[in-house]
Amino acid sequence: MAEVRLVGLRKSFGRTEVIHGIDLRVEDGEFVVFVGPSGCGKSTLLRLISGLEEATSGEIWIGGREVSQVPPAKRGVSMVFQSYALYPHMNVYRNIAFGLSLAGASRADLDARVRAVAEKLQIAELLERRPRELSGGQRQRVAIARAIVREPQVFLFDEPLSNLDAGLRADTRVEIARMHDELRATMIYVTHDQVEAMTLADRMVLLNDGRVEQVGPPAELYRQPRNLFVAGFLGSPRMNLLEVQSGEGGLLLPGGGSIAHSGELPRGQLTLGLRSEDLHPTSGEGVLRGEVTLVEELGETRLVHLRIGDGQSVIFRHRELPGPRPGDRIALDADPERALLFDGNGERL
Amino acid sequence: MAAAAHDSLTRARVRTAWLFLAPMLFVLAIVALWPLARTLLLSLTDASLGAAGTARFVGFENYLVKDDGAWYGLLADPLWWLALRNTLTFAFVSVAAEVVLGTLIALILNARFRFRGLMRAAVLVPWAIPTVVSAKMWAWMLHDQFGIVNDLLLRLGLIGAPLAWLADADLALWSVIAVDVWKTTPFVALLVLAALQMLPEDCYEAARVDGIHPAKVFFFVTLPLIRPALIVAVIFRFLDAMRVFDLVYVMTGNADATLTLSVHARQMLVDFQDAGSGSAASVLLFVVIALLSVLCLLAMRGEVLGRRQ
Repeated sequence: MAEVRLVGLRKSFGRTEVIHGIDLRVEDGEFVVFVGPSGCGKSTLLRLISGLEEATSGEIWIGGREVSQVPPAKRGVSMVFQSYALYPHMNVYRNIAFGLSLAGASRADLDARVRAVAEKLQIAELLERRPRELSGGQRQRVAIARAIVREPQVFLFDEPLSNLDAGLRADTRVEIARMHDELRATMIYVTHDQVEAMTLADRMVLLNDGRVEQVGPPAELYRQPRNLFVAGFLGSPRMNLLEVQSGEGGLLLPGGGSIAHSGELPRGQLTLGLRSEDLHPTSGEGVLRGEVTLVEELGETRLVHLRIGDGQSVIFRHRELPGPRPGDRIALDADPERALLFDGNGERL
Repeated sequence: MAAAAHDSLTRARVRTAWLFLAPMLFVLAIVALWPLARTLLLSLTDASLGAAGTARFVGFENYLVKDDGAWYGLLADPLWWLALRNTLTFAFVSVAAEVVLGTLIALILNARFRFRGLMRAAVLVPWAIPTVVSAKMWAWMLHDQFGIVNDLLLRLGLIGAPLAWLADADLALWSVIAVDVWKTTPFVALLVLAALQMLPEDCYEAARVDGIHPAKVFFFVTLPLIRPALIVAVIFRFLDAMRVFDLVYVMTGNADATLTLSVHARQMLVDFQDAGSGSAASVLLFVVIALLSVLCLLAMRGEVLGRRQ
């Protein structure tokens, strides 16, 4: 197993630079997830680490070795592709064993390794099948088995679950987490799905436009986003962002409410971030008041859209029964501890 | 009620289908079925181009007949058997060379390099030139006294004296095969290139990350995946090569060394004015090709036609 370190990594396609100098350290045995909107460079970054793309400049260290000029096969990485990349004309056994054949091991040893991995991933009874005779989830297991059997220093996953349906995705997610616990291998995982990212990651790397926006444990990115981009990207529904005025002793909210704030604040217009679960209906005055425009029933909770005047609206999570109806007027209290403030440049204060 | 309606709908559809097929079947009957039937009938007569209308039914005498203890007819004619051997040699060697070279060229054209589009177009030039033109062109280039091929080889010191590429019985068939390979390799290359471009790119990336040797990737991944395209190319080319006429006739005429079944049939029919034997030769060529086609299809059954990947 090994740590992975990126130093000033840059990548250009022609004249377009898509990775703008990334520094990152992935600890030995850590599960790091690259997440970000499409086109943010997360897959390219993974391909740079695997060696499928060549870095324009910068260093890539894997297990204490600088590998940016080393061919993919000699970097000690295994990759699981979004499309699984199974060889369509080979059966499962051959798919798993194909990359091993040249490793110099004896036939019996090789056979034992393939069967052990197949056992572990519960595909032992599928060894004779061709990929097209497998379901999406089974293909995914074969792809993972093929990665594991080479006993790499680092596992790279490129959106491995995005071709699976929702139920299977949740199951496989749990299995990947269990696999990581078992193998204690360094894993780097790319996804655009924030639920996948939050549930799997020891640390998340949130990328935007070829730059790292924030690195940290999922809860930290969720609760203490460094800027408006991170705040807006994580969480569903998106964080409520309100234009507020800072004044003597507090913040003036749209609709006339105010929140007390201790400490120094720049005067003028700021952005207040409140997550839907941090707003609660109150029978009192509240800090926000408005009219319900839409109720989205989710079963265990419901999302209530509230128009609060000035053309702004907020979404809050309502738990008690019965739920409100469109047209109801509701007052909300906010948890001041949880409120986030951003300055005019979008940086958190 | 519903079933009856369904039945009448099906009948109407079948009727419409036949209606749409009718023009094509009609044209096929005129241009393919009628000439074939006529040739078959003629082959059973002693018809002659010089004396039309005096044909007499002779049964299978044009094919094989025993007269006074000796066998006569095409199947007893050593020339026909020579033509069959020449044709099979031509077909096997040219198709094998075309498939190997075509695959190599396709692999090169599939790689990324500058002017790739230009190269792809340039490769097609031999295929685009009319056969008679390229045959004549090569006949001149291979001319024993004035040809550029002999001139080059002499200057390079590879041969001591000019070779009669098309007149020498040992060289003529191989010369014709070489020209056919030059002319038809692009067709195979194009078919294989189309197959190569359909291959899943991610499999190759997986192979790269897994460190599998490129030669192993070619033989165990690429080749099996383009197999259906290769089989199609082989069938097309093989059936085409069995009928070869224009190239051979323009380059070497009726010479025994390169005599193919088609050239032989033309010789009987036109030069010897023997419509009966000429038709019989045509029918035999048809039978040979039909047999080989059936063999091909049987051997490759499921690969191309049946099972879908």
